[in-house]
Amino acid sequence: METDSANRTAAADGLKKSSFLLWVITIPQAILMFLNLGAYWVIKSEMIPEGRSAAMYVFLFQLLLFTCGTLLYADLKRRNRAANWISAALLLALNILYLWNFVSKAGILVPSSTMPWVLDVGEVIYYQFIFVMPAVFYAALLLSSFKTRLDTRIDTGVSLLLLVTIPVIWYVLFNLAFVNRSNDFSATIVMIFIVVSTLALLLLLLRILLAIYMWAVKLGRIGTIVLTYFVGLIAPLGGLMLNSLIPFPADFQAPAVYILTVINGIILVIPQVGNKAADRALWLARCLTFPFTLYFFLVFLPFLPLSLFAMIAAGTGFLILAPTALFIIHCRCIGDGYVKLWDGAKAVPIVLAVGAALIIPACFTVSAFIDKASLSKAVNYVYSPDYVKQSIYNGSVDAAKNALLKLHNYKEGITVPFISSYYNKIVFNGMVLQDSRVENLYKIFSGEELSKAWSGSGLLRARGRARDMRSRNRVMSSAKTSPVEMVSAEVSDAGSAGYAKKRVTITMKNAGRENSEFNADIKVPPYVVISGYWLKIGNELVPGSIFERKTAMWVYRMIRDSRRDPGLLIYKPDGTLNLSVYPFATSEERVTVIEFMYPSGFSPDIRMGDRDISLGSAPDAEGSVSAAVTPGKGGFLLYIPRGCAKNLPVVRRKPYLHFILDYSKGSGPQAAAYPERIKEICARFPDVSSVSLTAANFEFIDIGTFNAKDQEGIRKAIMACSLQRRGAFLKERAVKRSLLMYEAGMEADTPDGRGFMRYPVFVAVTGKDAVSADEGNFSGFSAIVPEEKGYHVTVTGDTATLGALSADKVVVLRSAGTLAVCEEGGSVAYFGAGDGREMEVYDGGKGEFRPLGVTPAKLPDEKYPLAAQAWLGNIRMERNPSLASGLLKEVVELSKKSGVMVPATAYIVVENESQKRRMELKEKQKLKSSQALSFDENPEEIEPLEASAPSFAVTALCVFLSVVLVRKFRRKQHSLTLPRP
Amino acid sequence: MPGNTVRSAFIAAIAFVLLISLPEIAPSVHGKLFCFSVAKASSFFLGSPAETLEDRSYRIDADGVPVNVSEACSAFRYFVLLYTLLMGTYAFYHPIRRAVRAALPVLLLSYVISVAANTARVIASVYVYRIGAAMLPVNYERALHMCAGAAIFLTVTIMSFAVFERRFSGGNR
Repeated sequence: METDSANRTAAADGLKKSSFLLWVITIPQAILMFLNLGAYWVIKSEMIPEGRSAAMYVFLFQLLLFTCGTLLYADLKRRNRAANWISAALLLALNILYLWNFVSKAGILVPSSTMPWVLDVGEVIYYQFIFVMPAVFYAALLLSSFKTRLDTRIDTGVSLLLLVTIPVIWYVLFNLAFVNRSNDFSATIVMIFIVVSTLALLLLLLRILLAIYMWAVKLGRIGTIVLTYFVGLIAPLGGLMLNSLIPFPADFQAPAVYILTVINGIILVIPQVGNKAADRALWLARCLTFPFTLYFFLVFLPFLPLSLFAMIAAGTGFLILAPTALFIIHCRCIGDGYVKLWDGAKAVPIVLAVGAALIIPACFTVSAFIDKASLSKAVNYVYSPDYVKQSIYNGSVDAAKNALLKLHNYKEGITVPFISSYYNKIVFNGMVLQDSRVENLYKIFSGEELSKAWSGSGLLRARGRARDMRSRNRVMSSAKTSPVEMVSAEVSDAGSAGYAKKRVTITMKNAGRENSEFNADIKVPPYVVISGYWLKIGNELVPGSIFERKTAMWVYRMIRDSRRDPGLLIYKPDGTLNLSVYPFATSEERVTVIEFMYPSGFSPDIRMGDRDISLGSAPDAEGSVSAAVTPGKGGFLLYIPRGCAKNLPVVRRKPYLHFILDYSKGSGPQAAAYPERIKEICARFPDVSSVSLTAANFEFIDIGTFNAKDQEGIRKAIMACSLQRRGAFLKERAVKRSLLMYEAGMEADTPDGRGFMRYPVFVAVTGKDAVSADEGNFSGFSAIVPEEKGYHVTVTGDTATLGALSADKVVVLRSAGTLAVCEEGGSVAYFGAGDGREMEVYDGGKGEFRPLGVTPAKLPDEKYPLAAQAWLGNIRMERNPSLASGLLKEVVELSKKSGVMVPATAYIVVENESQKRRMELKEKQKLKSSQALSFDENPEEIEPLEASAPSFAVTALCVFLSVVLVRKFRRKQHSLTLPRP
Repeated sequence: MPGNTVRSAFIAAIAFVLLISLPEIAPSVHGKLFCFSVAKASSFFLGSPAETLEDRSYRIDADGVPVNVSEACSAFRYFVLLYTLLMGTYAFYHPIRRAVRAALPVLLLSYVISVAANTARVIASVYVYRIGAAMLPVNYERALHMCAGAAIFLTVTIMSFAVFERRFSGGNR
């Protein structure tokens, strides 16, 4: 009798080692303290005094747990003793008390005003359970192996009886409470009862599992096989089947999960054969699949307290305990194998076991890094390219296509706790490559739609349900539809000293329905910058803050979807400003203020919605030129007011046609057809004497520059072009690249004369079914050739859309060998190099450069030069997106420092400090990641809920059933039959 | 067939045919009589305003869940069936003249009950949607709405029929 008990105790002996305390208490508590302090830092400004006291209490409690665990570990280790039942009971009580306290105080700790994107209270509680439950489980396991004087069979029988009795008592109590409402239990008593019952249940279950294990071992090989068969194979498969009906805590319905479950089960079921080498191989195989068991154990561990409810709610609810049982059996299999097979050796088996256990996680990690390498190359080539240097993709196109298909499969598949976020962290730094971008990338490299290539297969492919469950990221459609009108826009002075600052106070009124959004475009000249933004919330005019643009847009969407008070000001890709304010109640009026700043000599007009607003002229002398120089960075901006520009000599430059020929997969005309098309187009523009040719798909080859009448030369060059027909046609990127190359070569002489005296007119020649995949932002390039703001596209010989060539005149400026061209009326000229000290202007009449005649004045105020630096950085990023990884952070900092918004940043008004803090964290994450990545998928608009009534057949069935039921009920209760009237 | 059953079936059939063809004669009956009342009552209980859309349906923005109350949600057919049932029941216990006299009050009663039941169904749909959106795949939502609607209609019909029969059977049950 004593021996039986001792056997059971021996089963848990391995766990009594003091080092386990380090793994289940000290380390998890340290991590949890770090996480909780991070959460506190984010929301502390929103917390009420009671909340702060509660947070302090929680922190001290955690400190106590951490100290107790660590001291106990140190003491046991010093005395070389194992943990006893007193320490186990103490740990169990303290950890449960901690969880109890945290859950009961969660409402005070995280104020109700905190939005989920700032801090998700559910996630915070989940973390507490994740990091505290190992200690609870460990202590419970130690306690469950206590000795009794009972016979093992009676002991197990009693335990089993109690295990069944507790849920039954609960079931009865639930029903009584439901039937008889007068049973007024206080919430605390009920909670205590729940915790005690759950704990008892857990202890009993562990005790029974240990007893069953020992019993099975005693029975010999057959007993062990039967036990491991049930626990290792049948119970996990049953659990997975239950999971297909109730996807809790996540949807695990993927072939890979079933396959691994079966393999793991089989490896556990196979008995040892007596051959040492074979048995050791089997032991290593069990170590290999242990991470799989451990993963499911850890995923379900926080939900172990729910096992009682799971059993009450559904008979098969006990399957929630399958991972725990599997974990115990798997641990014992490895532990027993170690004792039997390794004769007390330590180093070799431990190294082998750890090595085997790391194989699956290592394979997954390596695979994620391989995906990251392939995807990064493809993503950077498309979304962060150096337009001039990267004209040919230097990776394998097939590898890129495969990686994209794999990513698509992964996104369409199941999302499981820990693993999905781990993969995402490695590959995308915790961010998301949106579906639309994955599809676009695939289209670019393959020339076809992803949906055509995707088979829908894959080991992690879910059965169509995971996708549905993932797509809950939706926004209200109503937010966009109702009109909010601008009632007034008043301009006021906000200071001037060599520059002008004007504030426009905009009053908006909602003429539509509840929760409407104000959205308006504001067109401003390029020399006007935004230096301030405010939104009136309540009676207070809350100043906006500058953040990285995509972060601010994401946060605005998050706040807007929660019906709070955000205001957002951004630059759109075409360079216009966009103002959004939300929400508006019916007939509500709200006020927002925008501050504009511009240098002296300018008198800008802006257009807000359909209203023109004159900001008024800046003081100081007419004819002054302001230069914003960025020392050491290269380049500067020159502001030329209209008054000064009218004294500068202008020139009319000669256009030439630059053809971008479509070499994408199976879409554009055949190479032999291009010369004829070029001839037709040239015939439309008799003044054009030369043409340049570029072959393009997602790669680019310059074919050459020819005399427009040299048809034979053009034909030969096209026929000799080596660019393979594949991928999609990126015409806009080809234009950007050619523009940058034109700008770099403006100083050189050409057959038409000096390089800067000619300008390109781009014509993309393509087919009807061209696969185009441009995601363009052309605004940074339109200033290179002021005469032509974009490019023309002609499809299968249609020249009607080409329009006429521009007759605009321009001013050509030079500084230290760097050329810049600006419009006739003056505005802003960007110089890629130089410091603006020796300015010259081209005099077309004399055919030479002469001094500008006015000395550029340095921009006044501290802010303006900083702002100009931010703008210069922004221009450099737009023209060379590969610089963004390093330059974006600098631009954002300059923008913040100067208070002036640039296209890479945005002004946003948020309600409180906690939102701002979360934004700061999000911004850091964004600045460390690739520009192509986003925080989440594009939200889907919420389809209105069509609360359709049940069909006629269902309604008729209801009515029929009602009659039958009522009649049957009456007949039964009162034995009444309908009398004849 | 006993006389009272014939009378009941006759009156019920007339009630059914007359009412079911009502939208053919007055197409706006769905919108003006049913959708409007249900939308207003639902918006009152949900605490969110109901707006009229262009297609004469109504939109309730139930704190993040936009609900359309359109012709398909009017539960007009339920009203017709309920009226048929109640009229048939009344005619079963009373002579035909009294049944004809009761036609209008029963019509009003059926209207009130069906609007109340439909309002409860719309409100339940919002809650079902919220719970479903958090826990269940999209595919299940439609079935869930149908089940919720059927459960409510069944409950309301059982209660209405039981009370109505007890009240108007004249002790002849």
